[in-house]
Parts: sequence; structure tokens; C-alpha cells
Amino acid sequence: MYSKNNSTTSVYLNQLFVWFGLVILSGLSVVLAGLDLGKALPFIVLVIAAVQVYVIARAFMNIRPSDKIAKVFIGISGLILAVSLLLVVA
Amino acid sequence: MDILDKLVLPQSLEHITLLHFLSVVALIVFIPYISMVLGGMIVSLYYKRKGTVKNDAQHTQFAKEVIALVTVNKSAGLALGIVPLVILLISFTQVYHLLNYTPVKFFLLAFVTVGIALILINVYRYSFVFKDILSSVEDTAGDNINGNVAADIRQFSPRISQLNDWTGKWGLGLLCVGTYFFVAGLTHAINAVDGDISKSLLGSLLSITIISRWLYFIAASISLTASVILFYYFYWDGGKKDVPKDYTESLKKQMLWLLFIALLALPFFILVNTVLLPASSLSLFVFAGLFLALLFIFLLYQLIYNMIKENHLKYVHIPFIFLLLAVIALALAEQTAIANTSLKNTLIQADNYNTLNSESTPTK
Repeated sequence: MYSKNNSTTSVYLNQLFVWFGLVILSGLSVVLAGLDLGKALPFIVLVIAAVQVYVIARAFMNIRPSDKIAKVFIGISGLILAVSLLLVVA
Repeated sequence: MDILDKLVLPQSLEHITLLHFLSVVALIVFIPYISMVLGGMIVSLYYKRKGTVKNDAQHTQFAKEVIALVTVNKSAGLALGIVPLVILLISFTQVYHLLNYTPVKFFLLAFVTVGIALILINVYRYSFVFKDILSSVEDTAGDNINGNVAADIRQFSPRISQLNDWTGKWGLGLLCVGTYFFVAGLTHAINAVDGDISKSLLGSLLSITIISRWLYFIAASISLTASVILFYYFYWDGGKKDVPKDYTESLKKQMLWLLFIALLALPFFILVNTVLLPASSLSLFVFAGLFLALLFIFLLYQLIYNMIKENHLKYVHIPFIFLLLAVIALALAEQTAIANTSLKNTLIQADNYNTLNSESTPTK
């Protein structure tokens, strides 16, 4: 499987694709700003940002969700995200 | 389309300019990726058929490797294939607000068909892997396999083969339809003001302008795929080592010729499509982008001809890089043409925004 090849060049290639993905997700957040989505807009934008954070943590920081410390931080950030969403809806 | 129309907020000039920049980014990501997948599917299905007819496992292995190479992984399909189309859809909804919704309708159709096609292509890719695993287990373990497992293998092997055939054909068919809708969306966007293309679905299906642009897209897809295969098999990480030498030799010749023939068609299509561009879309930057793309293509003719004639691979990495640069130049030219076409509408929208803004700002 090419994506699982561990050579340095393949790692760089994967990171390049991840970078393209992040650019595209940022673009999606920007184009959504031109639509009148009401209270759903901050929710969608926060979800996109959460996906970006997850991708960065997995691809660039090599954090695995199975790590204990990672689970704690995912829980804390999930809580912060939930509070932010509640504040948006309220 | 009324729903999308009602969702659009009044746009400032700066926001519309930003939308054009983001559309360029989305096109630069989407076009090379979807071209590689389309060309890769054509090459993969051709070699799969060749492998079946000649009963040559090497061709079938190549078909499996090509599709794994061009699709990258499942997430790439989403991030580089689906999300850029969503960006284009939303961006064009805003840019073409008050003007013409035909491009948006075609992007919506492209989004649905390309989405289904990418799912089927990923199933095709993974069914290849499972097919090999099952036949390998059957061959190596033979009579030592547990009775139930042997029955499962006997039951699932033909089903996976059928799934592989079915998803391959339908995946390619739907991707062709999806890319046709995508090209139709772009063509309608360029011809929104003074073009003479029928706005109906049937009229668009039979439009010479759209058909010629789609053929141009197919030729570019095949050339880009051939260049990626050459790059991966003969340059990346020092070239692929686990392929028999005589097979790599024949592959080298076939891919160089495929690249050369597909590239020969490109200048003709670029010329035809430039002639068909409406007056409202033309500017110096459009011609500069087309000229740059042609320059890269003509430089490639020299290098590929030299490689075929002298039978060497000294420049094997260059076609991929030059073709990517040509695609970027063409995407820039395309988006500039779209920005030129929608300029008047952009100014109307910006004026509406300024009027609304001044009305809502309290006067002292």
C-alpha cells in the first residue's frame, strides 16, 4: 500500500496531501461566510476547525487517539467545543 | 436553486475577490486529483482486461497498483475530490448571485456524481486487494484450511471478482459523467453573459463547446496519469524495485507513447477552446495562462521525443512537474476568464452591498 510506505519521501508526500486538505478546509470556512446560515454557521465553522485540529494532531504531531494523555486532552477540547457551541446557540 | 439564492448574503467587492482566489485554489487541487483518478481508472481497467485476456498476472498487478497510486487514500478522495467541489459550488452560488444559476446546477450534479464515483472507485481499489488476499490464502494454505473458512472463500471469491468488475465499470462511467457536469459548469460560468450555450441539461449534453472542453479534459487526464506512472515507477525513491526488468522496459515504452499521444492532442484542444471563448471573458491574463501552458507542453514534446528516441529516462521526472505547472496555468486562465465574465455582476453586487451598508449605518 503506497500510503503506508514508511520511507521519508512517502511521509513528505502524505504531509503534502494533508496540507492541501487543510488549505481546502480553510477555504470552505471562508466561502461559508458568504451564506446566511444563521446560528448554524458558527457550528459548522467550529466543526471544520475541529476536523483541522484533529488532522494536524494526527499527521504533523503524531498524536494517536489511543494514547491516554491524548484521550484526556481530546475530552477537554471536546468540552470547550461543547461550551462554545452552547454559547453560540444561547 | 431558490434555496441557495435565498441563502446568499450581500457581497462586498473584497469578499467576491477572495472567492475568486479560493476558486483558483479549489481548481488547482481538484483538477489534478480528479484527472489522475479518471486517467488512472482508464489505465487500470485497460490493463485489468489485458491481464484477463492474456492471463498475465503482471498486467493485473499493474492495474491494481495504478489505482492505489492515483487514489492515494480514502481521505484524499474526500479532501481533494469532494470538498473542493463544495467550495466551487458555494463560491459560484455567491459570484453568480443575481446573474445566472446554470453553473451552480451543473456543479451540484457534478458533486453528486463525482461523490458516488469516488466511493465506487475506492471499493474497486480495495476489492482488488481482497481478491488477491483470498486467492493467495486459497493457493498457499490449500487443503489445510478449516472447512467453514474454505466454504467462505469459495463463496466470496467470485462475489469479490464480480464486485471488482462492477465497481470498476460503474465508477469510471459515473466519473466520466461527473467530470462532464463539472466541465459543463465551468463552461456555463464562462459563457454566462454573452455565450450561446443552451441552458437546458439536454442542450448542454449536445453542446459542441462543452464536448470539446470535456475531450480536452480527458486528454489532459490521460497525459497527467501517464506522467504520474512514469514518475512513480522510474523516479520516486529511486524507482520501483520489485517489478521484473522486462516488464518495466515494456511499461516504460507504453507509458512514454501514451503520454506523447495524449499530449499531441492538447494544443489542438487549447486552440479550439480559446476560439470558442466569449468576448466578455478575454483578457491579457487569460492569454498569458494559455501561452504558459502551451510553452510547458511544447517543451515536454522535446524531452519525451528525446527519451523515446535515445531510449533513456534522464528526464522522466519532468513531465509530471511540467504538466502540474501547465494545469495550474490553465486553472488560473480559467478562473480569470470566469472573473472577467462576472465582473459586471460583481460590481452590481458590491454596489448593492454598499447601499445596504450605508442604509444600516446610523447617521450622526
